[in-house]
Amino acid sequence: MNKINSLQLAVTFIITRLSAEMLLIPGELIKYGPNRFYAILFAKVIVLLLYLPAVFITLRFKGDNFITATMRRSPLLAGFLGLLFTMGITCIIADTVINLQLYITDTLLHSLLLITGVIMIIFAGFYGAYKGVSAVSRTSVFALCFFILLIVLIIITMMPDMDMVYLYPSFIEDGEYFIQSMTAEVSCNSELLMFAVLCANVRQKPNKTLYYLLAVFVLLEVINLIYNLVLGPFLDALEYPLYVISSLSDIVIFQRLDGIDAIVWLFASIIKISMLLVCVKQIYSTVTKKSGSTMFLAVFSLFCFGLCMIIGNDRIIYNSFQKFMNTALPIVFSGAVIPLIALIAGKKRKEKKDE
Amino acid sequence: MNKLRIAGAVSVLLLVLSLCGCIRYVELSDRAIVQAMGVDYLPDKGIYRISMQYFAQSSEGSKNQIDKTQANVLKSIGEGKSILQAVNNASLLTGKALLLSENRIIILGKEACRLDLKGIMEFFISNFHSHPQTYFACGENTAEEILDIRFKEGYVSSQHLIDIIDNAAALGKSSNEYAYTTMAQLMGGTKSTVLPLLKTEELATDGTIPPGGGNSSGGSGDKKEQQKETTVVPCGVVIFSDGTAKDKADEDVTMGIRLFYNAVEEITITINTDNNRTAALTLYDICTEITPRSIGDTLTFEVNTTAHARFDDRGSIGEVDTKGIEDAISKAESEIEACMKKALDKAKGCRADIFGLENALRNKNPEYYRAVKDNIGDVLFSAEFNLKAKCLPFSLGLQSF
Amino acid sequence: MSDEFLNPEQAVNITSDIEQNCTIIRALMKNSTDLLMKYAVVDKKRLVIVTIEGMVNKTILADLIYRPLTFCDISCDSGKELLSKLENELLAAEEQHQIYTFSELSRSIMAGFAVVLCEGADFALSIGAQGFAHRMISEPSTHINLRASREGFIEVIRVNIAMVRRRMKSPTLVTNLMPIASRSNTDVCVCYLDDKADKRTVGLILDRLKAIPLNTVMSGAYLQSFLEEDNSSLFSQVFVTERPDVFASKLYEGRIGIIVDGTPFALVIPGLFAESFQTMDDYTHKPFFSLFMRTLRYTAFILSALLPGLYVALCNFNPEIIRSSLLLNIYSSTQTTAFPIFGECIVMYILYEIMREAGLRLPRTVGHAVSIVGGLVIGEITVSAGLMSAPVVLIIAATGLCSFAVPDLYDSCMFLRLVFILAGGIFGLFGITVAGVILLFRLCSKSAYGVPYMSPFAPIKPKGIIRDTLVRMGWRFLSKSDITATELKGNGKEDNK
Repeated sequence: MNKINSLQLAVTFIITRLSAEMLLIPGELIKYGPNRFYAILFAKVIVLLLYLPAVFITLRFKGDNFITATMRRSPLLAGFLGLLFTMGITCIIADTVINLQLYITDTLLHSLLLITGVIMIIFAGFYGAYKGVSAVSRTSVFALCFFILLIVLIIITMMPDMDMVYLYPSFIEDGEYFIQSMTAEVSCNSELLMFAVLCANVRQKPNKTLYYLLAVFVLLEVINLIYNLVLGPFLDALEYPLYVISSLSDIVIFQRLDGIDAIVWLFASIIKISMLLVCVKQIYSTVTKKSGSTMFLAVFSLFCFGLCMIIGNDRIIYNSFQKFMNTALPIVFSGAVIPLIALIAGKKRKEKKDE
Repeated sequence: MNKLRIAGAVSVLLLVLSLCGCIRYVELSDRAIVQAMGVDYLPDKGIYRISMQYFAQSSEGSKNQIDKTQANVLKSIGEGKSILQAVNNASLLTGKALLLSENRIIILGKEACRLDLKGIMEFFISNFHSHPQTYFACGENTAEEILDIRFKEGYVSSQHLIDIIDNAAALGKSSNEYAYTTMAQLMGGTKSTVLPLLKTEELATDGTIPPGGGNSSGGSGDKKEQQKETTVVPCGVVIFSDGTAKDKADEDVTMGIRLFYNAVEEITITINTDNNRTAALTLYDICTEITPRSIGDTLTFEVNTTAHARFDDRGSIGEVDTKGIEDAISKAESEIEACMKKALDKAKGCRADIFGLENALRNKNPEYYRAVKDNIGDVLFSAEFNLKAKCLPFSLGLQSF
Repeated sequence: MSDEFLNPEQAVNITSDIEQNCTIIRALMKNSTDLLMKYAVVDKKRLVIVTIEGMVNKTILADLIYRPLTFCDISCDSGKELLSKLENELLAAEEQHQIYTFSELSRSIMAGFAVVLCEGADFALSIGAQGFAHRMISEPSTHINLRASREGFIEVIRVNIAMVRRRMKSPTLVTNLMPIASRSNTDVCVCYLDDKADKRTVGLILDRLKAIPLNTVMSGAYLQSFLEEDNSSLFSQVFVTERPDVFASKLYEGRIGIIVDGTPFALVIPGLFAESFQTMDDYTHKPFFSLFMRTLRYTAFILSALLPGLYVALCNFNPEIIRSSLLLNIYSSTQTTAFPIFGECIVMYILYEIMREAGLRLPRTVGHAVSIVGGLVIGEITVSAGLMSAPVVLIIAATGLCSFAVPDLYDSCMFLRLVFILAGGIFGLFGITVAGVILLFRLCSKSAYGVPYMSPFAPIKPKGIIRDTLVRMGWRFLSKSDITATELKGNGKEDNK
């Protein structure tokens, strides 16, 4: 099995979460004010709790992931859980691809057709997954470097336009937005699913990867701070706030950074799609006990392509799908509930054996 | 395996080639690079009239650079029931696809100012390729008249308009907020903001603006009139409240508004001293702090303005004339207070929170703000204001300090 | 007939009949005109000295063999005894050994040895008298440096090995000389430091070298594809150098070097991406200067691959990113050109590569004419005539210049440039990003003998990056610890795919 170190996985998770910041949180859930600062904090605590089942599995079954652990005890249950889990991942892939395509159409390339965008994004994701977990996690280092460079450039160039007047300390709005924002924050953490599968690939103790949450927390708060300081109440009217802020940044060579911003986000999102496909590949390999799964990966990618075309072509379906994804149910169910079931199943089986 | 690889590479190549046709793009040479836009509204017809200055390379040859010696812009006009339709119609004259990203100034004609500003701005900002650092300005004339004037200064004509606004704003005589900042102000409770006001002036034969201002050019009808050399001058700001233009503010009032907003780099104040002489102070490092205080239902805003003062022209004040200096400073402080008072009265008259009062209340007294936020306009303009200016003389001008 | 004599597995032995031996040798060499057979008689026993013309030093031959044989006074009972006495008492060459088969004999004479056969002896004496003409040690034509050594490898393997040894006077330097390729019998020397190199990798390389199915090897590049793990890749995992100092320093980092006879270019394994950006001058200048130069090289590489594609993408799809005054200048220049920007870039790119290729292989005098044609006609006239816009000519010229800053990656850069022009021209920044991500996936998936090709950037090793990759720390810091290729493997457990 391909092994990566926990730092590599942490970097990949940071990139995965950051890609969601631009694409998956709809504009209406990023609002001006201090609420989102707290929402990010609380969401991270909730996510940390959601990680517990997967962490317990790796501790209890000596570095195994939930699917391998279940496979040893009941292949049938493992197949069933793998199927459910794959469904969760499929939803996230479809969500990411469609949102990325919309983002690209809104920003970089107005004339990009849905089919073209989806094909290219899924192909790039497939290629990454085909190259394996090491290739994707190594590539994420470059994505993180680009991202940090972008943020630093934005901060430097926008420093004169940041207005401290826009910062105010306490809650003024009602709590409804806070709850919505926090749920959306939790729904963005697809790394939860990746961890449940990839914990088996980590060379050291996989729990170390979870330090990424701290880095993500800091980065998200910094980004949110930039939103508030630069845009103030105008933030409420924007769909892609960081893109707008990038378009204000002038770095002498380029008059505006929005194109670079879109590139970084596209890069990060492809890494995320690749990693999700890697997880599916790994589940398939474990359940079917086959080492070569390229053909399956190609078929699954085609299936994702079809799904994206169906959802992306119909605004009503897309809106319903988006609402469903924002409830954080797919993330919570696949990332926490399924590993929990695997943990309980493993325990019961062991008890029976002991009897 | 090699065969598989070749097949894969060929299929990817075919896929890419087949996708080529899916992307439509416009060659750079087939675009009209819009430099400035004017929005006029014709109330009698109920239509928008869009005027555009777009870049035109006048000299021949492929390797020629921008010709800065002449006004290298062309004008195009379009009318329509919506701004989008008018913009599209304007592009018909250019024969090219419009590129809005270089458009750095949008001038609203006098009738267009009466429309919902947020709606007009949203049209331009919602296009991601438009630049959020665009200036919005109002015209005393129609926008078309202002854009009729093509300057030779700057690498394109609109550059000069931006320079005029920037310079006036630095001296406190106009405002130069970018579109996104203006939008942020319009998102406040009172939907208030200010936009710079421009007007056309005829130049005297020696190239100066005649005292008291020249006659505003009377439209685009008469050819002789057009041949007269005219320019654009800043003349204060337009105050917007509830999203529409409410009133104009002259240069003095504009100065007061800018002082409130901490947006003035330096201002010059001339004061009469003894023996009918005058002294001139330059105030810089100007800082205004607004502190809301609520006692019961009464809300009071303490407005403290501090500035460093430099005597650039001492007049009759001697080097060791402490009293003369104190008097001069005191007069300067009174003048600042008076200036700010005028601005305050104007803002109250327009019910426009153009000083960031809402922000100050929210930051420093959030409890109170939460209680009154649904009725913020009434609360702000029924509040008491204590204006205080404090100038600190600095030694640069007077060696005796 | 000759094949069975040459095949070491069939090993046809030398006989005691000198006439028969001579006949076999002549037949083996197909009566080649450069085969010299000098007959002599010592103690009434016939001797024959077999050499290849031009491969031996005649002075050495005269001093070492002919003169002692002429004036010797030996009495022996048999040919065998005579040869043994010659070997032990009379002839005192540096290299001499007994050979028993015709395949060994043929290899020896072709390597510049003189072979002495004696009547009645069923073996021959091979005496080192190599003296073929070769190029003197001179400054290398590639990787020219300002303050480092001026010596470059030459075509003679033993001289090259000596140059390495001179720089690495350590007993742990192992040189393993072996012939490869059944027909050319090219000598190849595998060098490594015993205490630094990974033994498993050394064994793997030796096995691969032995298994190379080529008949002839004319250059190290022939071996490169057999030593790379991913042969179809744009980027080579084998580092090529012409400098003995670079070669020796790579050995110190735990790499394995291969010197091939007949070529001045030595191979180093594993070769990493970051190594293409390092030069010897980085170590002779101050660290801050090295940092600056390395940053420039990385920038040059990125520009070289991306600039034309980026230009096309920005002009056609996202002109808003370009600075206003620059955009207006580009706009002005494209008004009257014959081709669209995408077409201009492709045409100019092809013209540039043709010019470069033409200038590279022509005699110098004609080369000047090519420069004039390239510089004046293509650069100036195409712009004046309105065929090309000035910015495109500038972009392609700047790109060409950038690619020379990292000569090791020129080939890859040339191909990537075309890919990015196509991606940028068809899909804009979106296409460039997708192509870039795919390229990075590919680069990051590569490993050279277990060492990730993009190491220490990916997988990230901060210590490696700030020690001697992007930043070159001062010698005081570098002297505290080493990073070897084995350590970059990530405990040797991370495999590729």
